[in-house]
Amino acid sequence: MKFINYKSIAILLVTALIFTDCSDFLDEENRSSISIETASSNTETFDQLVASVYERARNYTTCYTAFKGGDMYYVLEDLGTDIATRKSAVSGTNELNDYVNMSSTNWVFHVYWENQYLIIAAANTAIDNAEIIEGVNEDAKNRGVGEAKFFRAWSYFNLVENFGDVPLVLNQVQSAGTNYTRTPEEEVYGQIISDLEDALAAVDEDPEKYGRVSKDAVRHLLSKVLLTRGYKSYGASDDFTQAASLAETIITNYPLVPTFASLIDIDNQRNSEVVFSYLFGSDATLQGWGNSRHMMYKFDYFKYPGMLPTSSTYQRGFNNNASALTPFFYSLFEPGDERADLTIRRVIYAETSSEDGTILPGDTAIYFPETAWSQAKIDAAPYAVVNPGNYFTSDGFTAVHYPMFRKFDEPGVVWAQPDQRSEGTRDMVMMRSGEAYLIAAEAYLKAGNKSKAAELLTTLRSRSGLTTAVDENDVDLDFILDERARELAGEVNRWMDLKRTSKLIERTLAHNPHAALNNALTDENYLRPVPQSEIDVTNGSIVQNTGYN
Amino acid sequence: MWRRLLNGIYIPLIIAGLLLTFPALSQDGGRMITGKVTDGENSEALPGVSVYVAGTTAGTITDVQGEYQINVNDGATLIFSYVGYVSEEVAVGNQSVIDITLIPDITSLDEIVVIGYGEMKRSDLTGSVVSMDSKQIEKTNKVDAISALQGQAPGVVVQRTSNKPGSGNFNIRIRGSSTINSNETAERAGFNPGQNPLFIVDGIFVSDISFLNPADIERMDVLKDASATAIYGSRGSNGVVIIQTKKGSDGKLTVNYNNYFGIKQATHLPPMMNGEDFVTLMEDVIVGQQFASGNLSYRRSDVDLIDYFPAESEIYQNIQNGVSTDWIDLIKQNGFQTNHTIDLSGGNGTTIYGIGLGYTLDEGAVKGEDFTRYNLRGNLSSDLTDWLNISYNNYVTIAKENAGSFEGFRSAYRLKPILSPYNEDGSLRFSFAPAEAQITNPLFDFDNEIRETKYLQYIGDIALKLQPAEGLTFTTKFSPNLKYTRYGEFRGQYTKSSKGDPTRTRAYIYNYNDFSYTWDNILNYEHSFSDAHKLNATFVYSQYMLRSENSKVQSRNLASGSFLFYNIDGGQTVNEWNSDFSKQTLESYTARLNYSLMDKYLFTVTGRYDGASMLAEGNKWAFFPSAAFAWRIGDEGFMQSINGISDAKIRLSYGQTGNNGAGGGLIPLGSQSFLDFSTTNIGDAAVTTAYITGLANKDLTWEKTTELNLGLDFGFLENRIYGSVDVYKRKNTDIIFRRELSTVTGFGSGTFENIGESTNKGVEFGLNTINIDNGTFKWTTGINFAKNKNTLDKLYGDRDEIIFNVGNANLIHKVGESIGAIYDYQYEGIWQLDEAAEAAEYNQQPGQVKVRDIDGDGEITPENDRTIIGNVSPKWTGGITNTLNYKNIDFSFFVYTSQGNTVWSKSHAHGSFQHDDNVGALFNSNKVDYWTPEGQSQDWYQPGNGGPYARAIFYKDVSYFRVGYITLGYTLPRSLLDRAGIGNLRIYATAQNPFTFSEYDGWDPESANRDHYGISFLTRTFIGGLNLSF
Repeated sequence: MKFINYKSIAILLVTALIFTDCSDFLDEENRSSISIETASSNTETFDQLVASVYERARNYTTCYTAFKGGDMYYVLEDLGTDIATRKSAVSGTNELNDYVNMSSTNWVFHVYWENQYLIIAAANTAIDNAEIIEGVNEDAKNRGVGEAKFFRAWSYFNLVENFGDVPLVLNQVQSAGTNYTRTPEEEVYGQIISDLEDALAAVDEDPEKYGRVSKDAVRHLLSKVLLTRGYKSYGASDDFTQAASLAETIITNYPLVPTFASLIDIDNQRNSEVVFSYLFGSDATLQGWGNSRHMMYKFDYFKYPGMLPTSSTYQRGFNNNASALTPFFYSLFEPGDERADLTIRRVIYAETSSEDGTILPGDTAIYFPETAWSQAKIDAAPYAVVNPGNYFTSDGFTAVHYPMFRKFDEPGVVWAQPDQRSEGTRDMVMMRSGEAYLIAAEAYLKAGNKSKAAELLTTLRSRSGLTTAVDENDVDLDFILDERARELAGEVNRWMDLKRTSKLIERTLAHNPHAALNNALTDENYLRPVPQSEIDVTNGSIVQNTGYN
Repeated sequence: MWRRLLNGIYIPLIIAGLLLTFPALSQDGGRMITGKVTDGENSEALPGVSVYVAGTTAGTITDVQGEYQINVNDGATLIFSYVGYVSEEVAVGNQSVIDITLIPDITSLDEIVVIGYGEMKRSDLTGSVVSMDSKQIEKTNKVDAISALQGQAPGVVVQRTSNKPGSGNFNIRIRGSSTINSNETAERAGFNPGQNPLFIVDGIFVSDISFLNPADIERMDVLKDASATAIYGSRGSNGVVIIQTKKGSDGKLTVNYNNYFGIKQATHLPPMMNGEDFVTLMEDVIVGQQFASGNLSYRRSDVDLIDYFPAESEIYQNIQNGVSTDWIDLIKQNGFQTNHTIDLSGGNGTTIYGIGLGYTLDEGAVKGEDFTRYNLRGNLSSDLTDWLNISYNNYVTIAKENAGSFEGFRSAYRLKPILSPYNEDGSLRFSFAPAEAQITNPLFDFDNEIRETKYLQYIGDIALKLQPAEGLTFTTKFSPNLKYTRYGEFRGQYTKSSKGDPTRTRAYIYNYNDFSYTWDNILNYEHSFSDAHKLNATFVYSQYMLRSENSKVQSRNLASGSFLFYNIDGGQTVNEWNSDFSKQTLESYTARLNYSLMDKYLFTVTGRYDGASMLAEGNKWAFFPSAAFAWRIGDEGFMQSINGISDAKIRLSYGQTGNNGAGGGLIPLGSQSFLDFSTTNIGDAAVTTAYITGLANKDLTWEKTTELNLGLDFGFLENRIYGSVDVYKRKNTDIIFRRELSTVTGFGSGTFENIGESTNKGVEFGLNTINIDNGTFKWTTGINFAKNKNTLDKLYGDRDEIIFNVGNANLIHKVGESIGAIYDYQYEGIWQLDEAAEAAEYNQQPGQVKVRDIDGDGEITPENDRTIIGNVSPKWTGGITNTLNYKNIDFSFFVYTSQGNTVWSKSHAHGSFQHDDNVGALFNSNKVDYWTPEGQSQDWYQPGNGGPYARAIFYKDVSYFRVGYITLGYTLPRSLLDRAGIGNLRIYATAQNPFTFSEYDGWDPESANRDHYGISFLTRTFIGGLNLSF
């Protein structure tokens, strides 16, 4: 019958369709990334892997994590020291600033730890693949590996100072192992120094592109690493002299700019003094998270009459407890120190009219006199006046208010929520010869050469109008730490300075009002707690520092 | 009037008919029998009843008046059959008019259950399948199909995680959480182990069924045990929900029209502080701050707010003036809800058509939220020859979801009640600065923050069914599923996010294009060797492909607010631009054999060989077998003699299913390692950067579920009581889990591995009873109950616990405990004044939260003093429906419950003195009986002095009972309707979710872990509507 044929044909057709199905039906299609096999035949992959180390190093300096928000900006750098405290009333307790019940489960420690290892992983990947990627010329290979080692050393330096013994991972991880253990500090230091020595030999003296690691950037970091190791029981006997010698090289190669004003001038960012910066720029593709330093040490000034909630004239601060300066910080500046007014803003001008019309745009809106005004004088002023001593007392507008930082101001940058890109376009200066003077001075002091130290300090201070020569008998660690605060506040990790010099407890309890209130800082706080998540995930092969749970 | 409407609808039908001119079925000779079929329960006409001559295929279907006519030969017997009713046989004899009454078959043993690539009678079922038919679905009157399922089926736990209209966010857990991973997103209300089941709509895999109009659903069948789900082996391990949409039915044109109208209102609101309460709170916060730093002698009487707020400040003035604003009340509205569905169906014996149109509008209880959905359905099936049938089905949804402002709800709960929403001139005030610098007036957000999702979804299929020989059919069916979604978001100048600054305005436009298809080829052979041996064999070859392409753009600083998101280039800065692509495929070979011996001993054997693209090369394929046996013991002679037992069947099944990790976080390419790219700035130029995406796992393969199920179906007293009990044990092995790695690897986010084992054991119980039936009054009850116990048996290596945090809840995967148990400090109360010395030993102060020092070492440590304090999955769930009929009046109500789960309550966390470190920045709070030195409450900690363990107080039991609906209906008497030519007309009124009974006093016990950003009120709806057919 005819229809049987149709039937057979139809069935055959469908059967044929099933079995002509391509055998690659289950193969995965990839349109968003490239396979590692393909990449290793592309010469430029090596440069891209090295560039990724730069990218991570910049990102994890600018913001701890985009996920949990800028709430954590710099909290492990300045908070809980003599110059920076939490932005709240002098009451209650706090883990990070007051060292009360500091817990290994605090997310901040996890993020800081992980970020450093993300930089290290990127460096390891670049280093391990240098030989695998085809066609990379020898010069480029050496330079790239040197740059990667520079960043690896920097991250290990941060880790070892914050956490003590840390796992030393020097190769790209290829399998899901978990049995990591902590390598003794001394060995980690050995690796840091060896990496920096390798980097010093490999990177360019004078890189073609601004922002790349130069030999002097390596020298600067190495001088600081050696200075730090010099204090340790396992330090080498020549660590201080080596540190001083390296810092002297920087001092020679990077002359100080004539005034502090021109140093921080937004139109003069790439001056003779800068050794190494992270670059941002205004283009969103280049900028990444953006420089966030313009948000440092700001209180909620926009809550006052005459100020705009979306103000971009001054910069809104981080939305956390991390960003108040201590009264001690203001007291550090002696008369004539040009850095005082360039670092601190005592007058805030109105951006709009106040509701009652007593303040017009451009008028003074908030004022912080250096010495206390009488109540009568305050009452007579149409603007808000906050006397010294009242920085942590609520006035109905804000609970905490203090002369703000102006060092990194960038008018026009829109304020951002903590979980949003901070969008600052300034170069973020990470190393400059101003610090080299202080490294050298400290190294000379520790090496017993006080006069050389005094000489360097005199030069640095006279740039800011303090022309009186420093008496070498006045030079001690406290002098240098005070000078560091005046010169480098906001630029350099203060906690690591205090730790290096074993001054953390003494100076913090003396000058940090919240920490002093709770008086909980102990020797155990010289190391941060290892993140509990690391102890959990390694099933205890990574052990906790003493004093932490 | 109805006739005119009908004529309007007829025209397209006539055109369709002309296009498809197939010959009508005609009958030979004999004589004409006419008659009417009515429902034995309520004497209503029964349309759609098949009337056919025994032993032949000749037959017809009753029309909308329940009437039929059929040609028969002398001596014939007519069979009247209709799903859900007991079939009747009548010898024609010399009658010419045969009217008949069909009795509803409450046991539904003849109910046709959909089992995947086929269907069977419930009486022949060997696996565990629970069903909802269109009548039950209609009764629930829900806007979406998943809500209709909630509380109705034992072992199917439905958690609604959003109260925004149309959001479609649900967690559904069938028989507990088998796998470890979950969708850990805020939208899904925190951690909820396990995964949603596989949804199959008309044979098409879909991930979400909110596009369906519940009125278009013919039935939902939930396949639970491994024997039932094995046919979908590849993705069956989380259960399978099969949904069939309505199709046409043969016979004269029938028209159904249903509608309802309703009002929705916010309910179960937590009490908030008013102006007076808030002023006291401000004072108590200041006292609390003093307590926190050890000054225990400070009291409220020592506080003078003028020290904190200058006399001329707005806050101080408002305190003096007793300003009290109920912000919650200001953002509430009564939402409107309506649904209209019209169905047309008919056929001429060879060609059957069905057409449906639906319209749904669902407004939220907060301004600016609504959901509009249009559904269009068309079905055509035609027998081209006696061995070839072609069918074509379409289902189109056009929907628009306005999610409204994400900020407004939150702002209303945060704003100080001592601020006024108005300026002195009575106009609305936008900013409260300087009194309140963070929050702006939420009443602006509703008009200026727009989040609109529009989608067009098309599912359809074209199928060819061949019947080359008796009992043998071959079907090939191609089913595409297209979804085009556009999300547009606009944040205007007057929103919290823009703070009144036009340069901060934003526009987003996101486009999602999803295309998937399922191609099934099904060979089925059915044969009865004798009365004793019946065989049904099914072989399937199936392919599935899903391809997604997305693109996103966001710009800011818009030249004009009137652009909304339609002119993205009208923004000065581009903030986000990206596109992505993903594709996954599945391929399967399946065979199923059903064998029935003497209709008493039933056997099912299934095997499926499955391949999934996402798994690692060389590990993509796996075989999943299952077997089941059922014994209709009630039909055995020895049982027949036992009084009272009318039906009994024992079911036993054992089988294996799989999970390829989709839905648990594994994504296409997720088992591989690649280089991905980004950009950085070196030398002021963009430099491409490359990084490794993750660790490859070349061994990643199928997660497997092995399940044993024992079930009993029973009926007593002529099935006036009937039901079923199932007990099961399901074991999961090779669980696909994102295993954490040490962050020192640089891959701290982990990698997917097959690790771990878990077990779910449980019991499910369903019972239906006719309590009273005396002809005019009838009362029936349906009860379901399910209890599941989940245990994690193994992690990896020596690891026996993983501690993690989702949505602020601390959780643990610990061997021997439930997956994702809550693991934290145990709340023990509040440190009282006379315990100051003891508190001091813990570095704490009176007024603070006290937690249990489990090891009693005088120190609270995370290692030794955290313990398992609850579970996010309920211990048991259940539902009960009561239906009462008296003459033409019907009344029913439905209550369901979820018991024994705990959640970290964001309603309490956010409502608990936020910013109590700075009295000027304090947010409004829940009205709680908090601790003060004068009134030493144990209920809540002192404001400003929560202490280090304040979070322990936020874990809350979220058990609840909810009345799902209460409905009163009235069916108009026949005498009235016949005159109007109407087949059936019922009018009804319903209260949806009218009452929730729960100790939990946050926003919604179902989504208690949700942040207050982007959520909405729990609501109840009062509805009136009608069902009409003619």
